[in-house]
Amino acid sequence: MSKVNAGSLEPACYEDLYRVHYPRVVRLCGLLLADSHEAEDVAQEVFVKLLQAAKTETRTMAWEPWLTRVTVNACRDRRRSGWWKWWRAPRHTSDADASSNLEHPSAGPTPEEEALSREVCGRIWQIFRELPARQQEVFALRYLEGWSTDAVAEALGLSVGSVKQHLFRAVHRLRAGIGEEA
Amino acid sequence: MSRCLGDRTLWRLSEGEGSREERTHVISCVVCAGRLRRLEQDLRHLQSVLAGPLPPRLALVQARPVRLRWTTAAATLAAMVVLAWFGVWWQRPSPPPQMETPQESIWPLIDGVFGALFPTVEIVFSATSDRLSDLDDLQAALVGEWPCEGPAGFANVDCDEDDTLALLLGEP
Repeated sequence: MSKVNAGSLEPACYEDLYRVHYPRVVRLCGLLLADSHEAEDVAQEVFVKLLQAAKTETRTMAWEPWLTRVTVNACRDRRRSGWWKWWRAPRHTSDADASSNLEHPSAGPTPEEEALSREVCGRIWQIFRELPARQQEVFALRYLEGWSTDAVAEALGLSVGSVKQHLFRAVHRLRAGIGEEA
Repeated sequence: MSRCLGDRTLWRLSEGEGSREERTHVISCVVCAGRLRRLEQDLRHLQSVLAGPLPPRLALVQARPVRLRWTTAAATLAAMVVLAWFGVWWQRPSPPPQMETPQESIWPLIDGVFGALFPTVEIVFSATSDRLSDLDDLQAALVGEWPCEGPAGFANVDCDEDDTLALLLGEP
């Protein structure tokens, strides 16, 4: 994890943080919000907060977990504030089709395999979105961001046991979804 | 350890945790080894899917709003029904509560009382005023021409056979 003295967070250092972590933050926001536009919006907010925090924070900071924690909280706030808009938002079917086409080029599997794979993927995403927010966050950080359980616990302000509990439940439900589909 | 491991224990093993006995069991037990392999395979699959392109919003967006619309419509309808009922109840003219029954029970009594007190008086006064004044009565009495159709109090007096009146007038 990158530790930088925040008091000396110069523009070049901020740009480094932005360049290294922005894609990851957007990706995490996308996972938690399931909306690419909202994800970019929240990621921008997070880096504005980073800039503000860099001006006031005088301690030596590990910015990576700080960014993650702020990102998770910002996503949670966004979900709370705009839940109605989030559920009622127009469908981006064209984006979905485009991503599916990119993910499964026509030269690869047969149409049946492609349809089945797409169905399974859709099912997994659906179950992931139906998980409680905390389980989504823990699963994303542990399995998709590759963090250790301890780091996840520290970033989210949870105990290690609680993180394991959330992780196991998330994995159990996701696997059950795969099992139903199979 | 002879019993097969639970799902949580297998997941702990996949996380690199678990006791030595549990690891030994997984090595020796074909069933548990297969379950652990399948768990790790599923985890890889989940990671590969969820780490892929951002999801299409198809399934959830198609499922949820329908439910939300139904819920919203049902809630709105219920609220309208309740409001309508309340409005009707509020604006309904209050019925004259329990007024007719007392009137029905009281007025006959009042009629009876007035009927018992006043009708004869009216009849007497009307009868006397229509026929003869007091002066006529006195005059008639003095000349001995008391009309037979006089007041009711004298109705039973036989004019032709009234000796008392003759004595009073000094007639033989």
